Amino acid sequence: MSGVSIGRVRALAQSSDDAHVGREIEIAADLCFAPIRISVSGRTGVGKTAVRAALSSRSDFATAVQEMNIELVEAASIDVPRSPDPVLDGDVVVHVVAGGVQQADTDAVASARLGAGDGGAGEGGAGDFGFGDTTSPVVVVLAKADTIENPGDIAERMSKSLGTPVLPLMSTIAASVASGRPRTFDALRPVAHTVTDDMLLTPDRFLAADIAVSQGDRAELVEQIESFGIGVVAAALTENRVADDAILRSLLTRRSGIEDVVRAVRRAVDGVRVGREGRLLHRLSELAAHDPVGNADIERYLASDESVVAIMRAGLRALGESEVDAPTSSTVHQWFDRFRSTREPSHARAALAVARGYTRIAMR
Amino acid sequence: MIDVPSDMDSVVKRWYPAGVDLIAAGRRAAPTGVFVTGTPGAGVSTVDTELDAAVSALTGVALERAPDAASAAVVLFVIDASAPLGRRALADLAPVLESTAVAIAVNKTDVHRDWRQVQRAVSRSVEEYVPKSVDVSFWPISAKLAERSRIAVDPRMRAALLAESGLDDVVRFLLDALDKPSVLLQERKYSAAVRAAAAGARREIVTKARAVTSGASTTELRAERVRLSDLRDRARTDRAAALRSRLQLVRSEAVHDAGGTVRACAVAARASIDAANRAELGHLREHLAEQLEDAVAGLGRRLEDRLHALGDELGLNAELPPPPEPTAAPARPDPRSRGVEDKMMIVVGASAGAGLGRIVVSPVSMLPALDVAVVPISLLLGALCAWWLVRSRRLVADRQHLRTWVGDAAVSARSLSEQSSLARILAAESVYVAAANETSRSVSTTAESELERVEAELRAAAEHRAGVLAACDRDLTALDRGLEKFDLPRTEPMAGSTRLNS
Repeated sequence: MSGVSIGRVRALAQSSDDAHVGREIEIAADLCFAPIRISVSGRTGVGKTAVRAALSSRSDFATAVQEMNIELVEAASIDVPRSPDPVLDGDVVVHVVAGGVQQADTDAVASARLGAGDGGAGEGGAGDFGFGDTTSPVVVVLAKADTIENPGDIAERMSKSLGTPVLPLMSTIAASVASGRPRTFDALRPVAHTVTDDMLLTPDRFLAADIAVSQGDRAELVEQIESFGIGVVAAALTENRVADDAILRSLLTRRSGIEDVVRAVRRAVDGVRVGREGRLLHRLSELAAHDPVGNADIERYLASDESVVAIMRAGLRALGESEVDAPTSSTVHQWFDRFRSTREPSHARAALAVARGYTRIAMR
Repeated sequence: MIDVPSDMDSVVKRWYPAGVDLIAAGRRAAPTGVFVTGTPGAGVSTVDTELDAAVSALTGVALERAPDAASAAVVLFVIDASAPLGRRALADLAPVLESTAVAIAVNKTDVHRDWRQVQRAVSRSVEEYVPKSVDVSFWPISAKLAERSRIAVDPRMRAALLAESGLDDVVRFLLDALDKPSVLLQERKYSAAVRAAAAGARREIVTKARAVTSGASTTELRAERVRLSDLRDRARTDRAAALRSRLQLVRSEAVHDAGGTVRACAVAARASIDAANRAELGHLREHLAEQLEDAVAGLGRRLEDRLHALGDELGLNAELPPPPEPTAAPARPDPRSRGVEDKMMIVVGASAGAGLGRIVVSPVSMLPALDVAVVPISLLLGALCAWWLVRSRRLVADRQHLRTWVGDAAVSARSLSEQSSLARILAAESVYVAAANETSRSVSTTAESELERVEAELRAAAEHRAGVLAACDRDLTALDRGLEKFDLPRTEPMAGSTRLNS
């Protein structure tokens, strides 16, 4: 995703003849390119730290953090006796639940959604191009999914009660595997077929089980990939004796659910970025409208491919639609039709912006 | 059972009538059975099933159940070993902890390695935030292991799993608790009911005291006082300013109106003079004079309307003085007097006519036979020409005369009308100012008396507040004194039994 280039916007501010307009552009750019804050929230002991560690240990996420100027922070716990709940004001809120959804979780998710919705004044949480976009990104994570028998079903039930998708995550396993622990599964290889379900009922049972693995290795395995991970690895090794560590690691990563969570968080961050860019371009168009002759540079920039596409993305986000990869003239016509048939002015404007953006892309 | 002291009883009755029923219900309570509940997702229903199975395996009879926490002899509260109890769950659990023996089962110890920390955290929170809990104990269990033990084939395995599940200990504790003397259980429920009623009454008292001290009840009165004193102080100046500015407006409108109307009248008059022929010109004089009079009268009427509207708008109840009688009758155009120009016209016309006659008859004079006719014809033509010139000249002069008269009359009508308007406005002003002063005085008097009433009410409210606060204080003391009797010795929280896998 290319988006608005910081260099061109700063250059606009520099080249503006009017000092006031230059300053306004600088302010809008500062808001747009400020770090995006992801805050991890949840009740005490649900595994906020582990979720944060699991996210930051992923190399693809770490790259995104550097590229897109992201801050990943852990918010104070909610639902703590005799202390008020923190204000969840991150641009993206990753809310962690464990066990079950409690009233405190429902309230926190609702307030985070609202908080980011009107947070445009300061941080530009959910910017738009005047399209009335108020969606705000909350990613709900069901942590400690390895302790639940059928996390998929439970997560689905939770999704219904919270009204937002809940993604199961085995944070300990994800974090360990991503940071290369345990170093090897060799200890488990020769005895994999002897590991039974009974041994994995509790961690203590595995530690006390009658298998040829040293206590230190066992403790390390339990510590790093939990009983569930040991079960997964043992089953895989029983099926395929020659499976190497890389295969086992990728299997564990897939089962841990971290990929879905990272994808959801990236999507949320992208949404915030698109919204902020929409807000910046909206401000630029306001400035240009005040003095179209004096601000011809801004007008030219607003008509450039870069900003037309960025405004289109803001429009798509406001309408809750996803971007089409290769738009054709029929796509463009569909959007023009939608522009004509939409009554709501902000939605009609968004549809027009989308049509304009697709026209530009299709013409390239 | 200790009776509720009479003063505390009356306080509860007065402040929190529902508390009386609560205490009565607590006195009648005969707590029996176990009530199983817990936090969402903690596996309450599984624990429930396993509990039934374990009890019937141990004793052969089903476990006695209670329909709710209020009527239960003991409550089994299941929590998830994944995370400690939060503020809300603790607040929901607090009334139960204060009235009934509660066994807190920390479930899913098989999968959560950190269950010991969780249990410690919950135990600490209960100790810290629910200090009046009567009998609370913690039991690490695993419903899943219990379930496994039931379906295990190997008897050794079955026994090991059951022991690890920790459910046996819970069952033994519950059965013990059910065997406790019912007097003790009743006593606890009763004390808890009394405390709940007292807490309700206290809450009501505090709310009332807050409401009284916050001044919310006198906010309206104080706002009224501000409004009234403002009315009293500013009514006069506001009214005077409004009257002055409105009169100024009427004045400028009147002048403007007079100018416009008279000008329009004069323009129309000139147009009709230009179009009139000789016969019409005679009537036109009278007609124009009447039109001008009408216009001036219209001006007077409009001014009158404006003044009345102003009075209505400002709510001034004053009779305007009648309009002054016109001082002088409007001038009528005098007939034009004949001057030397007319006589000159006769001579010029005659001589021109004679000349014309000569020219006309010059071809006739060629014929000697017609010589006789030359002189009479030229004389006749000269006379005709003189007559026509004189007539035309009179029409032009009459028109000019009338036009001049219209101009003069318009100027004089305008100045007269302006003068009379200004005089009229001046007269109205004096009447209105007097009326406005009178109204302001009466408004001030009314505001003054209203203010006195409001002040009196505020004083009464302050006295009432002091009285209410004193009564609240007294009632709170009565509650505190009464509650001292119900402070039961607290049972120390029991630690969970030792576990095989701990």
